[in-house]
Amino acid sequence: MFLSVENIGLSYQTAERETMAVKDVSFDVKEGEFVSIVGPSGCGKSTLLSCIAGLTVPTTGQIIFKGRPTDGVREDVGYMLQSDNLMPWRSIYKNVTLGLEIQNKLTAENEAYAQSLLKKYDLWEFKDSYPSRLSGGMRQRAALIRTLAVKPDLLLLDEAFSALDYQTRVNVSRDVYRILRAENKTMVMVTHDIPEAVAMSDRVVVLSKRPSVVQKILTLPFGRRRDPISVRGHGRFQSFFDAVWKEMNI
Amino acid sequence: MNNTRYSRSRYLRAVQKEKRAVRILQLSIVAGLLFAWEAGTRLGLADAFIVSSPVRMFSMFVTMAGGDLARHVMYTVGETMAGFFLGVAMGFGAAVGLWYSPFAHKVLSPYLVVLNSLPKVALGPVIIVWAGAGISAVITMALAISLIVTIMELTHGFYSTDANMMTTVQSFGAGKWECFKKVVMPYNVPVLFQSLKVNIGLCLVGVITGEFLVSRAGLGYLIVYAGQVFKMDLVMMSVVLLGFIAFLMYSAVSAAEKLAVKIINHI
Repeated sequence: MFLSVENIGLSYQTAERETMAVKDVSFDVKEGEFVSIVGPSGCGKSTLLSCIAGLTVPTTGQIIFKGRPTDGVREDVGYMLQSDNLMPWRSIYKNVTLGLEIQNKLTAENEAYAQSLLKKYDLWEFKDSYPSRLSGGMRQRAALIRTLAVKPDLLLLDEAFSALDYQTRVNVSRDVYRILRAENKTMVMVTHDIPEAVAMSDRVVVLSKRPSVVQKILTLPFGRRRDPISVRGHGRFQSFFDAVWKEMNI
Repeated sequence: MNNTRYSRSRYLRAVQKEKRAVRILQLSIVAGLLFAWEAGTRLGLADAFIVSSPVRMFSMFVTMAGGDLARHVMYTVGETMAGFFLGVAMGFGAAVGLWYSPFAHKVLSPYLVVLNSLPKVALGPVIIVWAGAGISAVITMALAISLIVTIMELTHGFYSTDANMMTTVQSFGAGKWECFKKVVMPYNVPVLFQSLKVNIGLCLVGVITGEFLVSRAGLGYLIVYAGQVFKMDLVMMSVVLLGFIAFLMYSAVSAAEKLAVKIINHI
């Protein structure tokens, strides 16, 4: 299996108490698949993603990616957080190559790849601009290219669009969907927006409320070549929304 | 279109007009005060021997300028600069250390708080004995007054760096030092300059305090000496000159800040 999340449990320790957010969560992700994780707030879904990224150590269980257990940040996993986090003191080009810089991979070949992404996704003319001059959607695209530039095999999106207004959000999620499918990436996305999860993913993992377990895994029939906006008008879209909604509220 | 351009130019004119009014009023206040001061002493409302007067100050300035006023100014400015740069370097180094090791920060925090609230002038005798009665004591006093504040402000700034930006670079595998270079430092340029602005003023306070206590040169020395021999013209002239120097130094830091922010933040 490409990615295995095996019996992950997560407890937060504070001076007052121990809170168990995740009790026991397991699921697999196939190569090239788009999996969303949804669940009630406080169910630990973001921390679960942070575990897959290697930024947080789970209390129990393990993550196995490409046959190797994750025990820290790994260069083959890309992680995108809520809001773009572009650095205002760096030009778009410098922002996009930040990951390459940190990983000491600023080779001519990698830079050429970053440049090709900028060209392909309509940011080339802004490469010398600073983030403050770009719209929310463009900034999100730049952030995505920054993640893609280091050529991760797995992409993690943590509420990546929730800082945007609704219209931008829907448009950006289509942009991002197209880019990620075109680059043939494997993705795990955490969101609280059920329509977003249904519109974009191949499977939706529904977590129960805290301490969470996997409530249900739904497989969606819309295919890889869908349009994440027009699929919302698909005859079966509503029934999947209802199914996720029902599982989440048990 | 014409209409908007018209209102734009009207807006710009209004801004200009207000700026001019502020400047004119500021200068009038100074001129008015000087005039009232001079007139008050001429009319016998106050004794010029006790309160001095603008004209007497100016003639004192002209007399002193021919003598060793320049030397005194050089001492004060030189000591302040030395205290400033030393304080910034040491404060920055300490703040980086306290950011790098949260454990050390936890251990040392209460000491910083105590040192910060301690009136540093109380250390005067200790400083004189330890650093010797001279320039080194004056610079040490400047450091004593400015250093702790610098450390506290910078450390606070470093710890308040945007958490999501940090996670972003960490997700690329950045280590602690890399986080500092790529995020913490550039993010805190405004904080750094804010502390430099406070620092330059505090250094001047430290230098004058130091000169009061020990030195044989500098404006602080001049003020104490003139006070003892009742030369109020010299006291007042030195104080005004000091205010002018403080203003120039602050302006220099402010100009450097504008430049740095422009280069780094591209706004």
